[in-house]
Amino acid sequence: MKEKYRSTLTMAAAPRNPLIWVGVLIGVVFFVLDALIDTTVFNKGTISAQLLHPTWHELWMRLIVLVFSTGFGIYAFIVVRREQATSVRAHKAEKRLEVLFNSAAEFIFIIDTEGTILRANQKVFTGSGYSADEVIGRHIKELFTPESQNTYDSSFPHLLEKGYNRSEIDFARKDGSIINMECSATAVPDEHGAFTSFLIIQRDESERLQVARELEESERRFRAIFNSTYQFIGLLGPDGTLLEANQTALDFIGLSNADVIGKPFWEVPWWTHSPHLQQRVRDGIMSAAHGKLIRFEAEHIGKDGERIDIDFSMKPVLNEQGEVMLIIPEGRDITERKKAEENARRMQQESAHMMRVNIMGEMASGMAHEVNQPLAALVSYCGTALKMARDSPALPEGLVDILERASAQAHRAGDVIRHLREFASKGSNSRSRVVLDSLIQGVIEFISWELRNTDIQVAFQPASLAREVSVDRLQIEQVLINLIRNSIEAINQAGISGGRVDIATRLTADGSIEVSVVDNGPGIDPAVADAMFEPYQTSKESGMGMGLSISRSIIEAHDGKLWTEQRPQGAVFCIKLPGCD
Amino acid sequence: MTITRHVYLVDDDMAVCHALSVFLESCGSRVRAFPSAEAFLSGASAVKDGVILLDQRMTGMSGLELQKELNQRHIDLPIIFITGHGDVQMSVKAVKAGAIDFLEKPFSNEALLASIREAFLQSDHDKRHRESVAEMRRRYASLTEREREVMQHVVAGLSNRHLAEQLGVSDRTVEVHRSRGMKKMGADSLPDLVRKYALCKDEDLYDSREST
Repeated sequence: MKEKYRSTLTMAAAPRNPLIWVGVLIGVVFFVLDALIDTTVFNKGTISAQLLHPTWHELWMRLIVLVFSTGFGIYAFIVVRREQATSVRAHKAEKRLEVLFNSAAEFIFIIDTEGTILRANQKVFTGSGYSADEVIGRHIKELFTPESQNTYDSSFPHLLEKGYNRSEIDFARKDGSIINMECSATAVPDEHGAFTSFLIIQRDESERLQVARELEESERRFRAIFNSTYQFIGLLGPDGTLLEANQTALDFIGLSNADVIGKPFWEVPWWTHSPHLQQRVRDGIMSAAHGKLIRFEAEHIGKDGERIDIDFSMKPVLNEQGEVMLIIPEGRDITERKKAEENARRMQQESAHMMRVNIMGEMASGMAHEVNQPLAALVSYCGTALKMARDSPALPEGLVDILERASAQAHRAGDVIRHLREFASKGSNSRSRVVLDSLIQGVIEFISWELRNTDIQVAFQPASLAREVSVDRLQIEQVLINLIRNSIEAINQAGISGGRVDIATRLTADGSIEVSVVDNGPGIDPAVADAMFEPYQTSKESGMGMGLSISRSIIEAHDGKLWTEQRPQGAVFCIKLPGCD
Repeated sequence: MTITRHVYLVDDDMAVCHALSVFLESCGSRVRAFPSAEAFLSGASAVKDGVILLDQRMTGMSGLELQKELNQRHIDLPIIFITGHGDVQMSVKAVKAGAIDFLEKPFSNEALLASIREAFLQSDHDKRHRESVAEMRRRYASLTEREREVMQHVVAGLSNRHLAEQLGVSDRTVEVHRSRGMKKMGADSLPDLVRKYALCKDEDLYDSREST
């Protein structure tokens, strides 16, 4: 800008163009020639007088010629200069086009109406491996694969007619490799509108196709994951319209994509079994559409009527502006977990019930013994008294009757006690053959459930070779639970971290199975070791002192043995049960 | 009805001990009561012929344990269990180990008497049996090696001639061994010999029953 401004200024101050000087020179020459003609032809004085002292008339004429000449020079200068400027601009545009032409990433050809290549850009040479001589003057279709030559042949008439054509061709490089090209041809008309040449632009599609293929492959992979995961996954619009559902979710209700896509999520059969759940989902979508994560557990009915428990969640997906674009509903099948929880709970209940029954039995048994002792004495005393009374010569009237009645009442009390005991021990005698190792495994799973939030480890080393025992399953479970819980309580009471309870089984030479329960708790005080199997003996703050007593009763009722062994550290309880033949 | 023999009463309940002592003494029996199994064991060397009334559940050693201990010490007095809370398994165990009866408290005096009488009958029978077995064993022990061999084959049913062939001796020699053996065994006929021979073998059975 500044440059241009300066150059205009100089030009106005001192016109340097020769045409101006030519004009001036012509004027001066005319001035001199006129003076010469005046002196030589018309003899009007000397030349110097003519030059230096012309007459007013001569001076005017000469000056006018000089001015006209100079004006002509200036005019000529302007015309020439304008022409020059136009030519420079045209040259520059040409140059720019050339650069553009050569720097294009596409192959660009100019061909004539026969298909002969007139020009080709730099990219053609670098991209194809041919030199300019090998390209220019050649028929363009010679650069294509045979199939594409056919394509060319069939589409060239169309180009000639319409002046425009698009096609896909395979370009054969000099080294024989092939490039997939998207090819567009445009006619270049002359001033009369006739097509004299064509501009062919070919874009390398290989890369774009490759990217598209990769994208497609990636899409396929993700879709495979999406569809084959065991989880139920889908996509929702923020208004709850179902956009996608994976195969697992579709299979569950036995419907296809076409049946469900575009429906409101809560109206798809996943939810229609329960209006309550439908409402919950609608409310959940409202919250999720505001960016909240929704999660709840739900019960579903599959197409075959099977009942499953689902841990269901809806996650909002935000765009860069923080608006909710999508909601991802996801359901995890937690039926198994639920079942395990339920089993553990049932086992706990059974165990508690067994415990109560056993405690009742043990108490009734203890009471029976305690009450039967005095009854036995009473009955015997009555019997002896009767005998003595019968031998007596002077028998008070009614004494024999009274003693007989007293004895009968004592027997009656004994019967009451016996019934109580029978009632308390009822139902606790259902023996079946079980593999002891499996039974223990079940107990450990149950206990581990209780210990899931502690650092106490319960380990089991089964080595009884799947030997069977004939036992009351619930009772033996009760004993094991009792022993393991004792260990755990002892570990907890002593505040030992890294507590361990190791259970192991082994076969003994006589075909029995020995179970050992070993812990790393504080161990058994030798002073109480003998008494701890007696009823009402406890070292626990809230124990009844029935556990070990019941356990021993149960094991002995199974012709087994329950005992402890002394160790420098920790407690060891052993059970021996006879194996089945 | 009277009992003149010893009754050893092992029960940790004083009232039961007293009541049963009073009754049994009124029947003429000599009763000795022990408050625990351990007390009985410490006085066990002094026990003579009689019957043991044994409570199953006692503090310290239980009735079953005492029974086992007595078996091991070869004190084979008949045992009647008296228990405040019997169950089938326990009574089976006790009877298997040689108990005569298993009475559940409270029981009548008559039942106890019947049981004691049964115990004495059985122990007398056992005693006679044991005595005859011991006698036979003594006799059997007095046989020479050759006579035992001959007896064994005779009992198995071999005739003299077969026996002579098998032993490689003359009929006459076999005849001599046989008559001497029969005489030593106190058998007056072949069936008698077989029975007595079986008694000697019975002893082994008896031993094995005791030790279990």
